[in-house]
Amino acid sequence: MKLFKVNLRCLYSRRRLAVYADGEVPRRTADRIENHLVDCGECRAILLRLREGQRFASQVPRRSLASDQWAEIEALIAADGKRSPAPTRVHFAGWRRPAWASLATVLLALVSLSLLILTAILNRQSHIDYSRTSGVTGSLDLSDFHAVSISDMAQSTEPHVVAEGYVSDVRIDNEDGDLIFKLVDDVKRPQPFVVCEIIGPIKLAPPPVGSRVRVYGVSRYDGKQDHQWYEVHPVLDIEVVRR
Amino acid sequence: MSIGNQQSGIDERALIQAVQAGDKAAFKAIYEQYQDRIYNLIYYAVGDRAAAQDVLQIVFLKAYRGLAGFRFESSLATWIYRIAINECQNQNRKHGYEHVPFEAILGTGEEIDAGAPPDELHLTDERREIVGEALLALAPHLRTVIVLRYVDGLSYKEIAYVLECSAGTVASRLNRALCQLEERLRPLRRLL
Repeated sequence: MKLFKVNLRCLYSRRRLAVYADGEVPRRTADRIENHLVDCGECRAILLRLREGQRFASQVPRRSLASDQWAEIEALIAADGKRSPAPTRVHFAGWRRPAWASLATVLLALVSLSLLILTAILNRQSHIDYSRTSGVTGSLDLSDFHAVSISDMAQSTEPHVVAEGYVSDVRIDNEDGDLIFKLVDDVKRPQPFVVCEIIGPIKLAPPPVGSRVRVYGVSRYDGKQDHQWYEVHPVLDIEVVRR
Repeated sequence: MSIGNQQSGIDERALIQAVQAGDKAAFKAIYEQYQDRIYNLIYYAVGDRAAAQDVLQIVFLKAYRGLAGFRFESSLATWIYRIAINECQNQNRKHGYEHVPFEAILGTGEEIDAGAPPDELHLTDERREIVGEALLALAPHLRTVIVLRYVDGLSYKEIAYVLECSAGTVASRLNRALCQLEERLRPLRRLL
């Protein structure tokens, strides 16, 4: 019986030890924990570990941004539409849709997919040479974008660029699942190139391989060890010059 | 300590209302006020600098979209933190970001002790780096609760709001996180 009582007291104290060590429990709770600590070596040992953990935690270094991301965010906002923010609901993990909403979403997705497939088939059949892969440019101010040749990308300091070239490769990035394609000056020569990345929030269809395109977006350097190349990332719009 | 107390005299309500009226400069001011704190939180959640920058962009895009519906029921800070946490969870689920193993960076105790004694400032930075890497070895939800509490100084109530859980869950996660951090760094406690 005594053992049972001790375990319950341990349980009570241990659940509150981190808060106690932070000095954030009410006085009455603190008294109760302290009374228990006098008799319980195990809980005292845990408290010491927690205090040591807190000492380490207070030394966690604060990380800072290597470069200002405002230009990229501004471009994303511009691509999202030149308007005051729409009342978009932010969905949180605890939010649950009712069952009928899930069903409606699935049905809507199926209808949308069918329409997309139908549109794609019709476009192919009629050989319409549409000049853009989406209407995003309509909401962008094109004068903000500076024309930069692929070979001069390294010298450019402009955040918003438009680069023209041939699409040599389209694939899905293994790292983050985004669509990426390579832009080259000459389809027969792999260098120089710029990697263009289409990110999730901006709905753009990838251009066909071999087509000549103008790519609008934010220029950046990817310094990862196995990358070390210049990118247009995110791509904000693609204008097809020649298919 | 409440993060609401960390505001630097800027009238946040006026800034939010300006954004809601379509003023992009006001949103830039909000970005500038929160970019470092949010980046730091994201960095420790995803464990990769480049990925953290990408997530930061999406977080502020979502914050911009969502501000029109902001009803001042929470502080702006905890609201943005909440968006960041959810986005990190999305990204971790989607990409499973991995960090370099702690042991690979830390090496052995002998390696750390070797060499000429560095100056005190450098040593402090080194110590902090070791602690930072040890933190990255914990599970993402444990890292997050440590950053929110001991780097950003949020109260238990604020952390509970950000993580959408009870204050009891916050306390229990902190218990686990602190014990695991202590266990990882115990062999180096004289150094730290």
